[in-house]
Amino acid sequence: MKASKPFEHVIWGLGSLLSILLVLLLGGPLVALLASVDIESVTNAAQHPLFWPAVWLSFKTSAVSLVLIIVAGTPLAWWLSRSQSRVRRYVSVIVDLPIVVPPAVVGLALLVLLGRRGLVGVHLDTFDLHLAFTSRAVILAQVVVAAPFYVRTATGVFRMVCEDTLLVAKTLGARPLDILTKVVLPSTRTGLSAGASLAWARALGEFGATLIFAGSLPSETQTMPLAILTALELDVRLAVVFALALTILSILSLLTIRRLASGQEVSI
Amino acid sequence: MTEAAVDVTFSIQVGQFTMAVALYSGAPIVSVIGANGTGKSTLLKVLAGGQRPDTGRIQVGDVTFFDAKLGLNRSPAERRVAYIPQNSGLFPHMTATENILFALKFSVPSTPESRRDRASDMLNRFGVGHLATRQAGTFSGGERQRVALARAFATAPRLFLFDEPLAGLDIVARNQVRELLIEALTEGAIPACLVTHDPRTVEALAGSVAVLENGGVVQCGSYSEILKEPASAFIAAFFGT
Repeated sequence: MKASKPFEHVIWGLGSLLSILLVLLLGGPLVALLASVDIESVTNAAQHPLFWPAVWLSFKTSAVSLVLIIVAGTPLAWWLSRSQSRVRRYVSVIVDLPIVVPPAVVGLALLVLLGRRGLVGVHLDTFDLHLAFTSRAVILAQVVVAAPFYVRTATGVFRMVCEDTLLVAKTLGARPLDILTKVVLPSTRTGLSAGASLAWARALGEFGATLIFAGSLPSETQTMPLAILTALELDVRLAVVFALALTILSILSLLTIRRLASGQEVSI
Repeated sequence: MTEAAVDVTFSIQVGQFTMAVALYSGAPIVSVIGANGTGKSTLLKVLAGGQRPDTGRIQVGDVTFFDAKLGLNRSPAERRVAYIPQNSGLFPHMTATENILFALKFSVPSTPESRRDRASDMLNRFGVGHLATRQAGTFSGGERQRVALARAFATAPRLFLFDEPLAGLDIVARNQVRELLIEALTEGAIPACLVTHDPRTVEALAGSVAVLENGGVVQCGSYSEILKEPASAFIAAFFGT
């Protein structure tokens, strides 16, 4: 039975209203942040001893995390996209776990595993290798929470690479490395860069796992999200500028990756 | 006794689908016909080395591609086949010239200059010289197939494998590509296995015809033999007899 015209109009109107409300909810907080900043606050924040060390640490650790995620995540994503084995399902679940598990739980789990008295950490301690509450812990926490975003996206992109095209490359005599670097990666770079952008954004914004596993030691483990919390306890205006700086850093990171991987989206 | 151009016997299990193929052809060109889902594309993939049979032997000319008893399974590169799948297999992020250069780099030992000359010659031969610097991802169906043919013929392979090269083309492009394909195949003495749903191509190629049904070859012979005594209703319907 056909829906009556007035009923259709109500549905469309309600849908439009809810969509607008959602857009306002998504964009509103950022606009509010921008609106509440003045030059004096920016100057004060830029001179605050917590600011630049946190900016630099966030940038440095998230960049290292991203490199690690891409280097280890790309072959893993390729295997996940091609493997028919049963093991693939279990590995896939393990990869997805950090997305559904709260970051605080991830941080605690890392501490239980790699802390000084942790399952593995106790052995590392005998080699005088300490991870918890160091900048290495910040990187590890970022890798664990951000890697799934890259691996999931890359797996989906690699699944779109047609088996026939790979077979053609093989029949032409191309070696596996040539197929990867000259056929697969160039044609999937836009999708991979989207995954890398997501992962970098997630690493930059990482809070809960870092706080528990690395702590919030100024200049050592205090990244921007943690510095925002500290600044909030001191002065709200300071925290607002810190938050805006983190937003700008995220946008710049996103644009950098998109620029590096700019190219036509193709499927093969 | 002269050696067969193509001598293939194998069985393979792909999921729930079982194929058992026995195909012998003295003629260098074999047209493979059959309804959808009978294993035609799988046959080409097995010949290309993309899928490994469970049993059997694959011989093309004097080269053994696969022999289960001897444990021999040549890699796709060692087989030196030119495989053109249904999607043409062009690399869409490369230009037409780059597609051919990529193939020549690995398959034909020569200088970069001579490879570039050969790529240009082949594109002109197949009437797509004007596409040399355009990305393959932007080609129309007919352009894609012509460039794919140019790349395949540039490498001077041991065996051509075409999977429905005329599929998805409009009538004009279909006629043009068919003409180019038939001319190029009949000129050279290189064996070819061509999966097609086009009776006119089968007739014009004048080679052997193999009919696949339910994963096996139900009839194999010359075009005139098959036309005279079609072994199934599908074959009769295919040729309109």
